[in-house]
Amino acid sequence: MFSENGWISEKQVRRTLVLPVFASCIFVLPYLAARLFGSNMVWGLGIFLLLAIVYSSVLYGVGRYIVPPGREDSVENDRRGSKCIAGIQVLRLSIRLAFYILLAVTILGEAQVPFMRKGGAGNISNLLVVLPLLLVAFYGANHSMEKVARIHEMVFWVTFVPFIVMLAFGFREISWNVWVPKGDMSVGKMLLYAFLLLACVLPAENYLQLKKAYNKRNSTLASYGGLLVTLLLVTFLTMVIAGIYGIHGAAGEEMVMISIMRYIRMPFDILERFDMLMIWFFMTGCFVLICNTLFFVGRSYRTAFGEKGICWVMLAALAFALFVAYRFPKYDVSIVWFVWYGACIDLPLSIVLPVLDHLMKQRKVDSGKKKTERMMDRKTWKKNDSRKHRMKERRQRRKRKQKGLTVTEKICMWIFAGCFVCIVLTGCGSDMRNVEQRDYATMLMVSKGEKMPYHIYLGVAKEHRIGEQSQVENIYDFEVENLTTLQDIYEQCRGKDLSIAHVKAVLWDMQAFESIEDMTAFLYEMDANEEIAKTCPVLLLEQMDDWLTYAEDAQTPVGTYVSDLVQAFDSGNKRVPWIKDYLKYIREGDELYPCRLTKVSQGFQIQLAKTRYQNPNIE
Amino acid sequence: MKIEYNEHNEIEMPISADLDRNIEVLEALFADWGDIVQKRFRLERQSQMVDVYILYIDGLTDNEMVERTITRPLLYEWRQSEAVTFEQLFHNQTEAVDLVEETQMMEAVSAVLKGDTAIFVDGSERAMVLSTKKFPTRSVSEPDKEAGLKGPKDSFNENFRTDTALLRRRIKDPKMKLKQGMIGQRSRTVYGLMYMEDLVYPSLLEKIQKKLESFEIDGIYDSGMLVHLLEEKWYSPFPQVQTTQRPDKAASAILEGRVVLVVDNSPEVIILPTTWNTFFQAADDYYNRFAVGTFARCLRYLAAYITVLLPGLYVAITCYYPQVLPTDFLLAIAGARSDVTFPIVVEVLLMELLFELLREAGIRLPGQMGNTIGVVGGLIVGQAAVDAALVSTIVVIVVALTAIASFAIPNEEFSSTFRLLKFAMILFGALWGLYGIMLGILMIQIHLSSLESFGIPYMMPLVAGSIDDEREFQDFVLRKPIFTMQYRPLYARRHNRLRFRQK
Repeated sequence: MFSENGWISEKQVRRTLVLPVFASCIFVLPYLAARLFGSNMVWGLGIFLLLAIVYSSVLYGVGRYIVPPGREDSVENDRRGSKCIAGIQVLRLSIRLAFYILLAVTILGEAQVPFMRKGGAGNISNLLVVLPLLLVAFYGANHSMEKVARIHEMVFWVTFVPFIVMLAFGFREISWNVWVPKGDMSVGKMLLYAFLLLACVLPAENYLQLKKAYNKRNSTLASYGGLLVTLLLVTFLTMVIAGIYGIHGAAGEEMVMISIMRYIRMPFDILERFDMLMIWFFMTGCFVLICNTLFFVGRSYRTAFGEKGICWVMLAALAFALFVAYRFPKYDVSIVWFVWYGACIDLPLSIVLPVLDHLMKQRKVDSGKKKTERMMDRKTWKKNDSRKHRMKERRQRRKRKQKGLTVTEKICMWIFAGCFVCIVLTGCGSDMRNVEQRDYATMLMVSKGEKMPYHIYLGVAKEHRIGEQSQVENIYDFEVENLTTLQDIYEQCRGKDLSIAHVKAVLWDMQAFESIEDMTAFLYEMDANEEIAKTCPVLLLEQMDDWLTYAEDAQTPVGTYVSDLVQAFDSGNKRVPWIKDYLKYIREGDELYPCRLTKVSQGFQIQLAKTRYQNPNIE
Repeated sequence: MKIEYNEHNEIEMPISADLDRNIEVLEALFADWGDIVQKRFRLERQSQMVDVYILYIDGLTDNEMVERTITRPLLYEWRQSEAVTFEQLFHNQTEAVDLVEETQMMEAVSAVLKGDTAIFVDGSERAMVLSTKKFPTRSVSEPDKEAGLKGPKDSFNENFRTDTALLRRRIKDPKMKLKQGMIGQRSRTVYGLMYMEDLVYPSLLEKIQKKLESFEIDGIYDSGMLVHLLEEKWYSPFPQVQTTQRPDKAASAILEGRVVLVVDNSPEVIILPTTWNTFFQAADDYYNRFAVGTFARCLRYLAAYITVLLPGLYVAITCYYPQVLPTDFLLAIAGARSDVTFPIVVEVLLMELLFELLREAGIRLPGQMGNTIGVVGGLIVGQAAVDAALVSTIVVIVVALTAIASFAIPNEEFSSTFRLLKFAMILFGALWGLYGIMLGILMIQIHLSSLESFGIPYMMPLVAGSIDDEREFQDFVLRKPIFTMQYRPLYARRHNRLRFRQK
C-alpha cells in the first residue's frame, strides 16, 4: 500500500531535485552569463557546465559517504543532528530564500503582474503582492517529505512545458552567430565567473537531504542523470535565449527570461501574446524555489530540534528573508552580492556542513550506545528504537493531525484572508479596467515634434458592435516626450486608458528621422515598455502627408490594413523587420533589411528600403 | 416495566426460559407500536403442551411466509407428534431454511426490526429467528445520474439485498466476500463490504473497518452520509471516496482490488479507495472502441478545466491582460460590453449565480416542469438579460460553455466541486488577474497532492508512481485497448495484478 511511510521514489527524488535547479538557473543564468562573459559566452558556459557537473558529482559522492545505499535512515527518524550545524543551515537557507523572494518580486514586476510598482522589493506594496505566493509556498512546504515530493511531481510538467513551447516557436528567431566561440577573455577570468555562476546550482545540494528518504530499492543513477540533463538543458537554453535576444541585449536586461516572451510571436494568430502561457511558468518557477528552500529550512531544523515549533521556525525564516529582501531592493546589485556569497560561502558550506554533521552524529551514536548499554537492558532499547514503535508513533501523530485543520493550515488561512482583505482595501483592485474602458491603438506613427521630441499619430480602433458592417478607427495625434507621457495625456484627453499592446505596425516618418540611429532613443523606449510586443513590424514612411490623408479618409482600420500588407509581404522569403530586429541591429550589429511604405495608385505598397544595413558602431 | 439501555443504545439481557418474562419485556419494548404483530399460542402434542410466542412487524414481513412455514406446520401438521422441544421445533417442525437461533434479547429484537420473525418458546433460553423480510421497495431501474449509451441499464436501489445480488450476478467467484455489519445506534442500518479476497490489501480492509467502527451516530439514511464520515479531510472540496449507481462499475472496482461498501436504504454504493482519475472514468469508456473512449475522456478532462477556469480567465484577461486576445475578438468583446452597466466581474457572477439557481430549481421541480425551467431560463431570461444590458452576449456564451462543460464530468459530486471552485477562481481573477488564477491553481495542486484516499495518493498515477511504471497510465487520460491493459491498477495486491492473458 501507498500509505505515507516517509520513503520517496526515484522519480520523486529526481523531480524534487531538478525543478529548483532548473528554475534557479533559467531565471538568473541568461542575464548573468551575458553580463559576465559577453561575447565569450560559449566558452564561459562550457566552463560553467563542467564546474556544475563537478559540483554535482561531489555532492553525490558525499551523499554516498554520509548515507550509504540500503541504509534505513529516513529523514523522519534522523534526529541526532548537531544543533549548531542545523542553525547555520537554517540561516544560510534563509539568506538564499531572501534572494529568491527578491527574484520573485522582480519576475512578477517584469511579467506585468498588476499591482507591482516600481522599486522592486523596496516597495512595501510589492512585498504585499508577493505575500500570497509566499503563503502558498509556505502551505506547500509544511507537508511531509513525501507530500512535498508529490507537489514537485505535480508542477513538474507545467513548469517545463510552457517554456519549451515558447522557445520552440522562437527557434527561427535565433541568431546562430552567438554559438560561434569567440572572445578574448582570459581563462582565469572565465573560470572565476563560471565559479560565481555556480550559485545558481546550489539547490542541487537538496540531494543530500533527499537521499535520506530514498527508497532503498532504487538506485541514485536516474536522479544523477536527471540533474546532468537539467544542467545541460539550462546551458543550451541560455545560449538559445542569447541567440534570440542577443548577448548585449541580454546583458542589459535583468529579466531577459521574461522579456523574451515579447520577442516571439505565436503562430496562427491564436493568441496575440505568450504572456498567459508564460506567467504560469514564472509563477511555478518562483513557487518551486521558495517552497523548496522553505521546506529544507524546516528539514534542517528538524534534524536537530525535532518537530516542535517547526512551523514557527519556517515562518520566522520567511519573515527574515522578507526583511533582507526589503533591505536589498536593487536586483542588479543584489544578484552580484548573491553570486559572490553563494559561490564563496554557501557552496563550500553545502558540502562541508553535511559531512561535519555526519561525523558528529557518528560520535553521538557511539557515545549514546555506550550510555544506553549501561542504563537499559538490550530488550527495552530494542523495543523503544524498533521500527514498529516508530511507525506506531507516526501513525498516532498523523491521526492527531487528521482531526482538524493543522496549525499550518490555520496560519495560512488567516494570513491569506488578512492579506486578501488588505489588498482589496488598499486599492490593488483599482488596477482593474474593464475591457471597454480602454482604447486600443493599432497603429503608431512617429514623427518629430515642434515643442516635444515626438509627434505621435495613433490609430485607435473603436469597439466593434454587432450589426456594424466594418470596424471604425480614429486618428489622434499628440506631441509627447515619450510613450509613458503619451499614455498619460491620452487618458487625460480621452478619459480612457490607452493600450498599445495591440499595435500592429509602427510607422516612421523618414523625413523627420533620416537614419535609423535617430530612432535609437525611441526604440529603446519601446524596448523598455512592457506592453508593446517587440514582434511588431516597423515600416519607414516616405510621404507622411499622403499616408495621413489616406488614414483619415479610410473606411477600414489602417492598423489592420498595414498588418495585412505586412502579412502579404512576409509570405515570400523577405520579412518586414520587427522592433526586436531594429534593437538587435543597434545592440548586436545584426543585419537589417528595413522596409518602406510607398504610395501606389490603388493604396500603399511595402518595398525594401535598402539592400542591407550594418551598424557601423558595432563590430 | 422499565427497560434499561446501555451507552450503545442496546439492552443487555439474555432470553429467559420463562416465556411470560420474555413477553413482558417485549411488550414493554414494543408498547404503542401499532404495526407490531404478536401472538401467544399453545402447541398441543400427544404427551406435552408448550406455549410459543411469535413476533413480527407488519409491513416489513412476508405474512404469508410466516403462515406457510411456521404457524401452519406447528399448529396442524405436527399435532400427532409425541413431544415438542426447542430442538425439534428448530430442526423438524418448521419449514424454513433461513432460520437461526438467538440467545440475546437484543439480537432477537434487532432481527424483528429488520423484518424477521422471532419465535420464543416457553422453557427455552433461546429464540428462533426466521428470515421473512419483505419491504416495499423500488424495482431495479436505469441509473439516472450515470446514464450511458452502451452497457447494462440496471442500477442499484434502496434494497441492500438487491444491491449485493446485482454484484453477485456479475462476479461469480467464491473469493468475492461480503462482510456485513450494522451502523447507526438507532437506525441500525445494515452495510456490507464486498471485495475479492485475493486481490484486496488486508491493510486496506482493516483500515476501512476501523474507520467504520470509529464513530457512533444516531442514524445513516444514505451512503452520502457515510461518505462524509469516511473522508480523511472533511474540509476538502474534493470527494475522497467514489459513489456509483452502476453495478457494472462497482463490479469492475471489485475486480481491481477495491472495496465496495453497500449501504441499506441507499441507491448508491461507495467505492474505496479512489483517485482523481477514477472520477473521469465512465462505464461507457470500456464498452466503446478505445479511440472513442480515449477521446471522450480527453474531453472530460478538458471539460473539468473549462468548468473551473473559463469564467475566471475571462475576467482576468478582459480586466488585466487584454493584450493576449486577438484584436478583432477583443474589439468585439468591447463592443458587446459597451452598453452593459455592470463591471465584468459582477456581470459574470450574476450570470453564474443565475445558472446555479436555474439548475437548483430544475432539480427540485418534477420532470417536465424542470425542463420548462431550463428553457425559460436559458432562452428567455438569458436573452432578456442581454436585451436589458444586464449582461453581454459574450458572458452568456462563457457561462453556457461552462455549464455544458460541468455536465460532461461523469460524477455529480466531482462536478459540483468544480462548480464551487469556479467562483473562487472568478474572485481571484478579478482581484489579482492571471496572478490570482495561477495562485488558485497552485493552491488546488498542493491540496490535491496532499490528499489521500485510504492510503492511496489522490493524484495517482500523476504523483508517487514508480519511475518506469507505465502500467499506471494505461487507464489515465488515454484509455488503452483492453487487451493491452494486462495488469490491474495499483489497488490490487502487488503479486496478483495480472488480469488479461492471451491464450
